[in-house]
Amino acid sequence: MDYSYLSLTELRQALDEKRVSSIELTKAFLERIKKSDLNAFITVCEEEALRQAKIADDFINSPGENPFLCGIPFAAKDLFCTRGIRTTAASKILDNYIPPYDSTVIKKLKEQKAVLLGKTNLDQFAHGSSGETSGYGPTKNPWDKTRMPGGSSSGSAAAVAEGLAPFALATETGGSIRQPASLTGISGWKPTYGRVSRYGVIAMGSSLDSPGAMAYSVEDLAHLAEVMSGMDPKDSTTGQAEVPQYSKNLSADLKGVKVGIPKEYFVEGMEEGVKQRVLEAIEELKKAGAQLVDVSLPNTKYGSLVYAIVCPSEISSNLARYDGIRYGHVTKDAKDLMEVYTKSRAEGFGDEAKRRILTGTYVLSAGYYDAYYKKAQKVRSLIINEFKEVFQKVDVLACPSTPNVATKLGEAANNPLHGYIADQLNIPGSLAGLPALSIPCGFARPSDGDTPSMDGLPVGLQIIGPQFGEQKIFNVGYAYQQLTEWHKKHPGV
Amino acid sequence: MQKGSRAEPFLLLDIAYNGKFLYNFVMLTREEVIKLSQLARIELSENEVEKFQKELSTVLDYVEELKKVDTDGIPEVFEVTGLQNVQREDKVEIADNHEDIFKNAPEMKDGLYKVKAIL
Repeated sequence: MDYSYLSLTELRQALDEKRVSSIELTKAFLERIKKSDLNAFITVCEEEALRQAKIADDFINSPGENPFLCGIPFAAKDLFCTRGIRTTAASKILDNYIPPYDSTVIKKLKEQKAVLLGKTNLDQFAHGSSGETSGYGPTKNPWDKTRMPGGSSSGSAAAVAEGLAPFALATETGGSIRQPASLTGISGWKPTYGRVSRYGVIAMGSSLDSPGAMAYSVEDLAHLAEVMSGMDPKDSTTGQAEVPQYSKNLSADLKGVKVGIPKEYFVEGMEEGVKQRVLEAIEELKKAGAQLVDVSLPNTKYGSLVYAIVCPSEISSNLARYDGIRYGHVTKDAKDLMEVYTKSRAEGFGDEAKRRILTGTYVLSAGYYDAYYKKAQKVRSLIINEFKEVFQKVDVLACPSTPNVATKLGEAANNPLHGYIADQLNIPGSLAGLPALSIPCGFARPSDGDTPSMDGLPVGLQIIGPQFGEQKIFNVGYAYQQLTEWHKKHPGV
Repeated sequence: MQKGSRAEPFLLLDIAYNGKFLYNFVMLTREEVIKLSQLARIELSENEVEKFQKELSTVLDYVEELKKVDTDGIPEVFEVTGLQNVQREDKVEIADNHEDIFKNAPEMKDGLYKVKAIL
């Protein structure tokens, strides 16, 4: 029996009914990882995984109910600290870093006795959106290995899409879950800011970072959200909002649900096939009972400008900790303490990290702070308020996750049009801390040459909700997946 | 250089090379970039200084447009979901991972981090 591509509920049943053991499952996925040539993983922890699977099996074989994820294998983006298991952020500055603690999300999954298969590839420090800035080589898209899977959660997306893990942990700062989920044809959840603890997730932009998940369906994501969410004393931005039983509350009936269609998210330059698939998907929501409402978010255009200031500012603060003293790369030829800092950082950081640190340092420095950072945070208020107003009229927003299907590896430079538009689709929601999904809604032919993939490449429908409106986006995504089969399509299957 | 569907964390380099965002272009001086690199504690090569002079200038030029937005009376964002002053109980917890922490240190002596002479 092939256990790849089963839903988490199906895996739970198979384990509970002893049709398969966690060790058998774990071995099967490790075998698939070994055979894969996507470069989706930086570290595979075979020994540790089999040890955890044994513990899960012992638990399953003892009387009593099993936690939902008990014995189910998973992959984690190599940005989540894992005690005793190397965590690199795909950066050479952390090449040999062994965290002395688990991130809160990993701890929660361990408490459920889920089995960590390995740590997935990403853009270095999550600075990128193609997987190509990784210090460990780019990840390939399983639908077409000449193309990139998106990023920064490139390895997590490729691993789930290729059936190397039934679900994966990922993180978002400004699109890093939605965009790769869209480009690899899987379901991705970017939580409300503060819904899931950031503790132990290597920091990028702390006012934006949102750890989330990727899986095959919204139902799976709803289950994962129940486990991952909640107040964490170690991350005071997690807030007190209670965690609903998202999976039990799922409803495919969208009668009375208002779905907003923001006109700024259907822009010139989008691939025609992508636009068509998304419009078709929105028609499906109507069939499920939803009422469609045209809305406008005119400040959308300022999103990437605000991000260009806020994100590097927070990066320059967060990356100050890599000093070559307590952990990470240290230079071999320093004369004095200052040179330990300046040379270790010069050698360890990649080009993009340096650019962001220097930009952040500039806009935060005395005399420029008001003109740049403060101004950006004010415009950010405008963006937040605009979303708030729209969510008084509609329950969720529906739009494309990306303006295009996956582009070719190494050739993204020839496709400049999509960059700015792509930012427009993901970044405003991130700046406002909103929850969002990307779910598969069909296939389209790429505009940059052909693909061997018969049906074309996956297209993603984005559903955005108000802060802590996870249940709303899950219901809309769930309703769509009850009516369609796109989320059951897998590469080469 | 990479461009394309950079949905997240978008590469500043994209902007740096994207000529269509030129407004009141003012180039950062060599000295300014060197000063920045000192503040950020990153040694830059001659080539990098020149490169970042151009690239940072273009990024700053790109964000100029924000200055046109009317934000009179608009407060700046501090915490996006509106939380303020979250406190916790002042409780001591025992950590059991001292050795694991120190294992990552490039250099230790007598249970302390070893650094170059400061004075």
